[in-house]
Amino acid sequence: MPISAIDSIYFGHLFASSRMSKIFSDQGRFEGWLMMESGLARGQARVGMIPQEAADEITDTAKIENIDTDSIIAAYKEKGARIIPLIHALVGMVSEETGRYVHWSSTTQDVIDTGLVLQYREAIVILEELLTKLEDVLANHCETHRNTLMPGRTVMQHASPVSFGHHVAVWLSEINRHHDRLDQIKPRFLTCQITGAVGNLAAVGKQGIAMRKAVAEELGLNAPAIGWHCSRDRWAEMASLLAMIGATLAKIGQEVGLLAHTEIMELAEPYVTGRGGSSTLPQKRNPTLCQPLIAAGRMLRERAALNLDAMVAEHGRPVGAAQIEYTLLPEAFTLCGGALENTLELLDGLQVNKVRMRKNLDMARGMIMSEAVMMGLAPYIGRNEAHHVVFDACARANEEGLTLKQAVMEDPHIKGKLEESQIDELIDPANYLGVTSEMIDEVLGEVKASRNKRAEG
Amino acid sequence: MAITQIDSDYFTGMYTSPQMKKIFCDEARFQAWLDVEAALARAQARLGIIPEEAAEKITAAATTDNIDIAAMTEHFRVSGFPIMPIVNQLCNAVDEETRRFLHWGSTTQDITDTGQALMLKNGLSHLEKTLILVEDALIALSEKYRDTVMVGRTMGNQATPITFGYKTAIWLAEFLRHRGRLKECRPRIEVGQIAGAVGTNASLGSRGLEVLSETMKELGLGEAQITWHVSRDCWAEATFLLGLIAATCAKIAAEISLLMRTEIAEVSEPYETGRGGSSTLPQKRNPVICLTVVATGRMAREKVGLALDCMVAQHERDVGGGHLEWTLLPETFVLTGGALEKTLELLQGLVVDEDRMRENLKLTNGLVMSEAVMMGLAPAIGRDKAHDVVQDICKDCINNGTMLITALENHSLVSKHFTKEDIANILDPSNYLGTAPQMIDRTISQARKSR
Repeated sequence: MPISAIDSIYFGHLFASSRMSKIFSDQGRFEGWLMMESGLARGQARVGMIPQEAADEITDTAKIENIDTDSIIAAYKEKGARIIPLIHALVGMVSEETGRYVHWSSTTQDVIDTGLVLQYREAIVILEELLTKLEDVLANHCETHRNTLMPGRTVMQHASPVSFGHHVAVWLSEINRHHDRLDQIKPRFLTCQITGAVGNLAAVGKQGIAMRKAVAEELGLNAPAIGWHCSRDRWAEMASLLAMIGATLAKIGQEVGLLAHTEIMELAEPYVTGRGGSSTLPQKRNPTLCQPLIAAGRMLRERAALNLDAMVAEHGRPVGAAQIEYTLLPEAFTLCGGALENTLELLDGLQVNKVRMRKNLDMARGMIMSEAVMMGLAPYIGRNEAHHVVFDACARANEEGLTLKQAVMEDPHIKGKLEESQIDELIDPANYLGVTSEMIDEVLGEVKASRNKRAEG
Repeated sequence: MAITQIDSDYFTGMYTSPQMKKIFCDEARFQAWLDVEAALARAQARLGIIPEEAAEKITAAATTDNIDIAAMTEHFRVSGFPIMPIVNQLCNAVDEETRRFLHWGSTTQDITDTGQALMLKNGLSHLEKTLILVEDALIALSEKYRDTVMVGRTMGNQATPITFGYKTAIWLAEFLRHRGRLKECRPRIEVGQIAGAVGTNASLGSRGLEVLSETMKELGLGEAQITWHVSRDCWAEATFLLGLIAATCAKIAAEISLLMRTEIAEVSEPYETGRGGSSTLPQKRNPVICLTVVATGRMAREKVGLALDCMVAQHERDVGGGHLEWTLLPETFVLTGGALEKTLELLQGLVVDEDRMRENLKLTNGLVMSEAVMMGLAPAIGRDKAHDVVQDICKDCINNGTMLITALENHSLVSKHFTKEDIANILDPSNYLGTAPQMIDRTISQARKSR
């Protein structure tokens, strides 16, 4: 039975996207390798390096259903060479003549790297789909809660009012940037590795570049200008992006978790009966989606750091660097996909308690509007003087249990400067949202622009 | 099929310890939770809190045979909290009367923490056993190669002679310290808790401490003075220990892969036909164990950072920290256990080429002994002057490709103080080992005493 966060039968669903898991299973890994071997053969046949019939037969045979996976797993365990068992199996299944051309001029790392890139290509499709859905859900909240007032908080304390739509638009803008980054990374990242043992394609002589180009075309990947066995920045860049997405989602999870505190209660996770129950306290509705989000963000962070280790690769093939990548990037995709799915579920059914937001906004007897009053007074007595005056009024309000309005109305420095109606207007949080609505529109526009750009390719 | 290197059918054999996997797999975790529920019931029965008969029935029912794992997992997907589903399963396995006393006064984290403490205890026991085997392998290497002279290297350059046994004894000393640390921290790590929702045991009235004490006695775990629901230093310490052990393994594996470079070739991994073959270069015998141990060392290192995250826990129960710990510790045990077992395999089958070690010592035409010559001359002409003289001689040797021995024999100042026999003695690497052999002996004797 499994152990890891991703593969555990019990905990796995908290962290892993099942669609990603399918791509990155051992089965998926073998399929990637087989696709690479047959693409290699077809590309080589196109430049006349191996016979076309051999390429055809390799392509027809290199299917996962033809492979006895148990026996290649056993062979790897015994010999420690990752690709040889699969090549032996493939050679054993084709004609003797064709067998001569299997894995022609290739090397283990070419197969492993390119096979993984093929798997990553599928994973990116899912990632893009999930990011798009998340943008839609976030955009929806932005519109719905454009003017839903709540306290803005800085260093855990009430600061001044914001709208919940503004809160969400900040998240949306961040997610949209991640999506832009993914667009930009893709051409670099979806690059094959056809380079031979030490990267110079010596085993095929002068035809190397043309062969690489043909194989890349067969696989639908970009051909690199030079081999990258020991140049792992492309993968590190992807691990960093996945970690950034994970950090954004952990931030969202943390924020929802905090705003769901009993004393705050402005948000709640979608509730279904029995969800988030404590095993002993019957009243509880614990956050259950937020928690794995926070944990996954941390797990992704560690994997990005590890991928930087893999970049420090010596000579032509490193000891113990590639071995990290082969597990960490598939894990990172699976974790990131899982976190995106969890976030979608969380935000799709998010319960927004407007009444409670308003109640919290008013809980400090209007004190949260002190800056607004100060800025209202400033034109009459100057900003600095206004700060002193309102500061004193707040202190008095706190001491005597007055509302901000009462304290301000009674203040000799303010009397005669501001009418009651002016004060009422100043202390209405709805009047102190600045350019919130415009910025929400800007963010929504940004998302639209990115989508248009993507559609144009 | 699984994804992670820990669970992948293809990769698991290369990275993990099969024994650790048994200790930390999902099924072992479920059994540990059931063991805690049963022990809790027995303790409460002994204290007269629940009927003796209920405790007996709970104990009899508390095996994974009675658990429908698929149904329980489905329940977990809805509930989002891991213990309610298994309590439900256990409820189904006992009669209605007994059911009333299950999970009495307890909370989710009591069961997850105490259950994991049981797994950690098994994990640490297995780790200790493996550490002893690694020490045995290192004692054998250190004794066998106590006097096998090889070159010592600093910053990649040949420096002065050492013995191979000296190198392995340093590894041995590091592992001895790890086993010492393990012994010291076990009593802090193998601790469970029965503390209730916010740790005060309010649900057990005034009986909380007795229940805690009796339950821990049942389970063979220690008890803490006060609840540690949000005080995770002891588990962070466990992760640190595992990180330290994995780092030592990675250091050894990296060293062996360097010493088995084609140009050095002083040691090599155990070889069997087909092992470590390249898929294209037929001549190759790649290090295969070393690669995985170096990689595993790095993976274990990253877990240490996560364990520190878990320590920063809010209020009376953290949001998200527990989720990390559930899998963090099992993964780290499996990885470090794997690194340690691979290191054991590496050390037990290590091929040491003593001839090659001697050959490599000659690579510099004897210059590797220059410090010995300097210190030999120093009593006669002073250390500072001796350094200048020998440096000049070395420069000539490098420029002209002369053997150091020839240059010394022909040098007027040197030959004034030393006969040819003196020079040969000074240049014999086995005469310039300092106290290396004694330090090896001390380390081995410490290892034996520590048993």
